[in-house]
Amino acid sequence: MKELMSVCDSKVFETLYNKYADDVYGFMFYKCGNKSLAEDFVQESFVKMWSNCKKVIFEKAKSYLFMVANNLFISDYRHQKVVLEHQKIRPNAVTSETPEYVLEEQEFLKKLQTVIGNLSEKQREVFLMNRIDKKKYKEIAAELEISVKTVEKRMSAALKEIRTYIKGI
Amino acid sequence: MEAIEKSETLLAKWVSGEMTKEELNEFEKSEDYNLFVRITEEAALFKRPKFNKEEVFSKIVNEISENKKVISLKADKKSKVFRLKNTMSIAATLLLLVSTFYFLNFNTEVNTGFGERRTIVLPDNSTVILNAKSSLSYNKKNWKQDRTLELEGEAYFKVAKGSKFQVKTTEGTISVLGTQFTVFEEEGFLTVTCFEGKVKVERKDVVVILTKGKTFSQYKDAVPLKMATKKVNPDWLKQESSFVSAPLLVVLKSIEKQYNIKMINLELKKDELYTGSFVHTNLEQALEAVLLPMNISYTVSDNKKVVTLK
Repeated sequence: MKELMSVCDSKVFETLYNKYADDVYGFMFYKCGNKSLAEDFVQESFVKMWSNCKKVIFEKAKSYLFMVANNLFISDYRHQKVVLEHQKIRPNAVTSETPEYVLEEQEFLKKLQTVIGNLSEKQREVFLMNRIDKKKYKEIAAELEISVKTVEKRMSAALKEIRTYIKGI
Repeated sequence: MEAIEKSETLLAKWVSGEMTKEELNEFEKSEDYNLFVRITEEAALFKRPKFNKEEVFSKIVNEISENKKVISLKADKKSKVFRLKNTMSIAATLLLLVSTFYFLNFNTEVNTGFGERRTIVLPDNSTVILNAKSSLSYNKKNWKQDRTLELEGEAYFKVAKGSKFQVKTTEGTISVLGTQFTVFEEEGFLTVTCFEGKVKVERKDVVVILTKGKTFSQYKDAVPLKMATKKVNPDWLKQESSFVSAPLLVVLKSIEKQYNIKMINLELKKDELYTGSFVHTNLEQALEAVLLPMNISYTVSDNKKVVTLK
């Protein structure tokens, strides 16, 4: 008899957690912009997966988790504006650049931060999964269960919107 | 208009390095090219706040072990009990193991009270879930040689592979080799459902072999019924009891056991057959579900302990 990997096995469950928790967390954070809320969503998604473990196929666990997390996000109203930290925005960073350049750079990053926060969730999650997590469109498409073309459309639209905003001010 | 403005996906292709040479040449000359380079490069330097991976995992484990009763029923029979990281849960588990051990050391009899349900793990790791007001007895010391249990009432069995496994009831004997099945016996009525493997039912001169998804039921000397079921677990594990062509008396006695109530005029229409189910969580709903379709009116006493049928 062929044995399938059962999600109901606690070891398998733990493996799945170690493998996918970061991705689910990132996905949720890009959507809701709140660290502890994103962690709550991760927790709830995995608990849900455990209680439905018989129905979850091992190979599909990742998309199951993303789907559950997404539904939890939709049914939750505590969304916030997404605020990201930037590696360069540090108050006392030592730099050899001219003060004018530093100022312009800080301005630019602030604008970038604001406009990313104002993107639609769908554009933002694709844009940040690609930029921050360095994921390929194909991976993003698989996780969100959408086509690569849709990912490309959202990515392009996000870039155009960011450009327009930065130029506009 | 430029190519990137016209196309819905071309900019994305530029980011992923999939633009053709011609497209790239044209794009590099465009006004916004440098801005796009800057946006994509700077955006890649953003980071998200640190994820407390371990902390969240221990929260998950806690939440799961709080709901453990439900979960372990749903869990695969081969799955191990979830490793508990919480010391409280470990203490609880130890306590359970110790008390079970103590219990199993003697010729064991397990009884459940009204509305109660118990899970019993047999020495070979077979599991029995005993429904309300039922009793089960077996010899723990002899178990490896003789896997025989005596049952009164209703129980669900998950049998580990091994020698012959027998359940004796006053209404017949059920024997198996390794399977999951339920038995319900009461007042001349016997019903057995097999969820996995094969089960043999012997009752007086009737011998039936049940395969996966088949239910056997017989009332007194009536023609035995053999039906298919799509269920993977008995309904009463989900706080519900369901019946197919069961004599009404049997159904009513089952309600009495589940809710610890007394019914007056129980014998009314006792041989009529009932098909349906009742919940274990709400007496009024349960009574309505059974008595309404059978056209029986009833009154419930103020303390909700006595139901009089009319």
